[in-house]
Amino acid sequence: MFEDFTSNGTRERRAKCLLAFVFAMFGVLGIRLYSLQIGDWERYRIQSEKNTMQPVPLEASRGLIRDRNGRILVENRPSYTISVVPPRFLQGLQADARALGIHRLSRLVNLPEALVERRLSKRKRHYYEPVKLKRDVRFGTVSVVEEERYDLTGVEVQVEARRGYPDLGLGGTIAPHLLGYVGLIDPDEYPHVSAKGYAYDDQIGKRGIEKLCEPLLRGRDGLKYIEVNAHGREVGSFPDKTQPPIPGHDILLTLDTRLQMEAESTFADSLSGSLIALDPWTGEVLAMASKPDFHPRAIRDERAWETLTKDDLKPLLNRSIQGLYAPASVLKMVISIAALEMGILRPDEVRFPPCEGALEFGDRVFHCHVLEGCGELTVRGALIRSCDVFFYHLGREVGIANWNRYARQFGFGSPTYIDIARGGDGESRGLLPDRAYYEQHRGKWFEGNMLNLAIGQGETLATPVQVARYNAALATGVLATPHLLRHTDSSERSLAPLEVSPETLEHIREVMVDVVSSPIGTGRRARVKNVSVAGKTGTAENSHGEDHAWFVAFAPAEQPEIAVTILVENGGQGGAVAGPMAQRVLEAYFEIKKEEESRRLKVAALPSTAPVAGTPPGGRAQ
Amino acid sequence: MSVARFIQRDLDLGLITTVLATTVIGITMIYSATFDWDLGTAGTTYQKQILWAFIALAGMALTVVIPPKLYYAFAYIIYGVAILLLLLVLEVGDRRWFNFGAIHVQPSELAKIATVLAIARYLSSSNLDIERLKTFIPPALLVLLPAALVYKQPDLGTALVFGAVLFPMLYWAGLKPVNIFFIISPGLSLVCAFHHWSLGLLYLTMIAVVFHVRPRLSTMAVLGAVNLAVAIGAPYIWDNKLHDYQKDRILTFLNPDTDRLGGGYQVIQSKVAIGSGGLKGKGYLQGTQTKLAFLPEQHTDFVFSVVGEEFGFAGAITILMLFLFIVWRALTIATAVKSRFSSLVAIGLTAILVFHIFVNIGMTIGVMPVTGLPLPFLSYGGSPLVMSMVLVGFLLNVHGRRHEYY
Repeated sequence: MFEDFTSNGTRERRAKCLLAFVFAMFGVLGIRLYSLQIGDWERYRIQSEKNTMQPVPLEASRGLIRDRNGRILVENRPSYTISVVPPRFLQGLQADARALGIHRLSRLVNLPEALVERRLSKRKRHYYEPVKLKRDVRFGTVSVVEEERYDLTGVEVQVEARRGYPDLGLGGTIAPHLLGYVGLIDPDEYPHVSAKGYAYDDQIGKRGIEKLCEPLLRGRDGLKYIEVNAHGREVGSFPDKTQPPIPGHDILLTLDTRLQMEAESTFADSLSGSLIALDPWTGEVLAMASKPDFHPRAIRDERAWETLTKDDLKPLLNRSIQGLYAPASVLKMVISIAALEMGILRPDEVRFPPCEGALEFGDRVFHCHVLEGCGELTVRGALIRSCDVFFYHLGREVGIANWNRYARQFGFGSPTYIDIARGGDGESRGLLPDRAYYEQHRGKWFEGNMLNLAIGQGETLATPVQVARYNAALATGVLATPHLLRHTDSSERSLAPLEVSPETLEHIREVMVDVVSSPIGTGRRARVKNVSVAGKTGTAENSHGEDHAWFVAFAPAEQPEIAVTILVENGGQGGAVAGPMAQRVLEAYFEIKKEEESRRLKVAALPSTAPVAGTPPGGRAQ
Repeated sequence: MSVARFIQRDLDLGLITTVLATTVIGITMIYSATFDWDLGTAGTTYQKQILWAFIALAGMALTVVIPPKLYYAFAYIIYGVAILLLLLVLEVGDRRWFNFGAIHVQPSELAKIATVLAIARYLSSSNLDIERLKTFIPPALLVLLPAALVYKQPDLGTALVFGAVLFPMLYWAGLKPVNIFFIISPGLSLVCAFHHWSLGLLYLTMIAVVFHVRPRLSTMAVLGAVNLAVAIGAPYIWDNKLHDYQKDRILTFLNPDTDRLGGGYQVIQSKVAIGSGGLKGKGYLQGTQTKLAFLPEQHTDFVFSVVGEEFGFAGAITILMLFLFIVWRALTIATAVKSRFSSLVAIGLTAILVFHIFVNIGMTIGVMPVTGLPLPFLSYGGSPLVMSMVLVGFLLNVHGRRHEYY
């Protein structure tokens, strides 16, 4: 059977050829080994030393958000995050068990496999940085992960700070539109912020104060280096190389939590609208509610978020600075002031024919909301009853140019530049029409338009915060910029004195007091015991449904401390719905003030050795 | 024959000594790779490997005792059994392994030897016309069947082993290198299809060879058609038919640096381990790369990285020399043995060894793609070690009976 075919030489020759071939192959390996181990030794040696040291980011704790009394509105609470170091996790698997491993992981954290796969390939600052798979997991999941961790290399449980909202008694949150929320960085957004040192799965302020004050709140993450063993567990550290994290700054707001809660709870469940309470002298926002609202926690839940964005009532809209409404009768002070200042009218003069419920002008009839007519009126009587016919007459006398000039002084038609508007929402600037506006948009200016403008209807549009600023200006004579941040540089805030004589303002204030105190006053439902309240109602015609109700008030009238502005969408008559709400907020304000004063007095009266906030022992148990 | 006489006259002492030495080095390196400085021990992995070494030695002894006549007689039956096991493991096993409790058995290891036996038997028949194209069809099928089954496991590296044994055996049986060139030319066309200059160069070479050898017209026609189809078809399929993820897989296979998290990661870490070893290495148990598990699978597929890191260039070259010695002994045996069947088996088994060595070491230093091929005698694993030892058993066997005709 043995015979040698000689078509390619003898066996010895072929064996030599094969040996030469093998020699050449091994030669390739040898040369390569030489270049790695002798040629590039230095480079690889450095690289291997880098490898054993592993950078671990130290998260800086985010600043807290507090109210004007230091009360915490947004805090940090610990939560469990399941994260994975992708290279460790993948290398812990058998060569082609990747799919299986991902399947197990996805079951463990209850996320779709595709999502887990995507998260595993996310961009990171460091190669060994853990990728956060799922945040805020329940403790049950944590213990399962801890159990399975032995054969799931690279899977870690981290304790991380999350935003928490102390339960203040209103379903756990207040002022969500103002405080805003944090969230994961959008993929589109990431390139813009990566230079600031954000990791791909970092949280960032998305809205409101969280966004506005992001640079302050965030602090700066630190870094430590650890030496790791085969399973990625820490076996040593390099304390001298640690860069400690710098915690974020706390943010103090001008809000008063109790007043804010009162403001939010004055809205019955079905009501939407806005309530703003300002310190009229400084523009500090004591309370600012927008209803309906949302819970910041809902932002993390995809389904809840979708419900929010699709809700017809627009709970995400901050009505206080974004909602546009006709200011209606609350604007009547503007034309009154214009007329008084221009000498068209003296305070106690009865100048116009008595109101008989309507006024014919041109080929149109302009009605008064008091259908039976208001009779003969001074400016005081007209404001108390909010007679429309009186102001039709006044509008014609003052004219659009003067009316516009005075309304502009009170800030209509220009944004308030309230700080919170820079928290992502933006502010509507409203609309204050002038003659040119009508010529441009309507083709021609008609005298009849002025009649509507005089009573705050027509094309004029204002946000609640614009009306609040105007209300505060009526109380003090200066136009202050509303703001929520306590430590804003004061030069940023403008306090523009109105070009209106003190006498005129004083007269208007007196009249506004009568609007509330007079038995026939439209604002009589806003009375507060022992405090003189100045106010004015408004009822904005709404072509889409029920009228919107306005109420502006400040108190005490002689030395105003608080200016409250309320808008209730589809609330009907201003005095009926919004009046009592103003009353509640004002009462709450003075109640809080009284309590605080008496506490201050008590503390001052106590002997210094006694416990300060002393409940006597056992006193609570009664 | 008596055992004493066999050892005295017919045992290749150089080969057996080198193989045993390499195995001991392997166990030592497995100990190092699994050594945990925290615990101060290496676990039980190396002990298992010692146990496997004894089992493998027993397997080798068994292989030596059985007369080659029987291997010849049962070559096709052994092959059939191996194919059945490959089919079975796809269905009932873990795709790659049969699990007997804690023990995993890889039938692909048996299939490698069985395929060599079957090809050797076919090529040793007396009425073979090595110059005819149709002569190559049966051995090609013998290779393709197990290769396809192993590829389905999926284990591309092992599947390629089957192809790697075919050409040296054909060459050994008398096929001219020119014809081998023709057979593998479609593969070369595929590689060169994406690079116009090299494709042109390949075709110029092919035309030159054709003019020199002047093969039959039909052969030339088939050759030209297949090569052109591959060269035109491959880029077309790449551009129009493949999904991005499929392209990614192929690219990762060709260039592991593009996928740092997958196999590419291991190669980079392995290169760092070996490169940082320098000339003399970091010392036994002192490897930091492998210790810190930056390098996964360091005791199985990447055991060579441990050698490179802890014993440096000197250690790595020593291992290469040991392997070279084994290969040289194997080729010497294949040359000396009288039986054509035994000679072809020796060549096929040598090819298996060389392929494993080259692909595995090449992988650890980044000249070969990452596959699951173990390093003979050194890598941890029962089935590969038994297979390697059995393979050496064959060599010793045919060496002992080198004067026999049958």
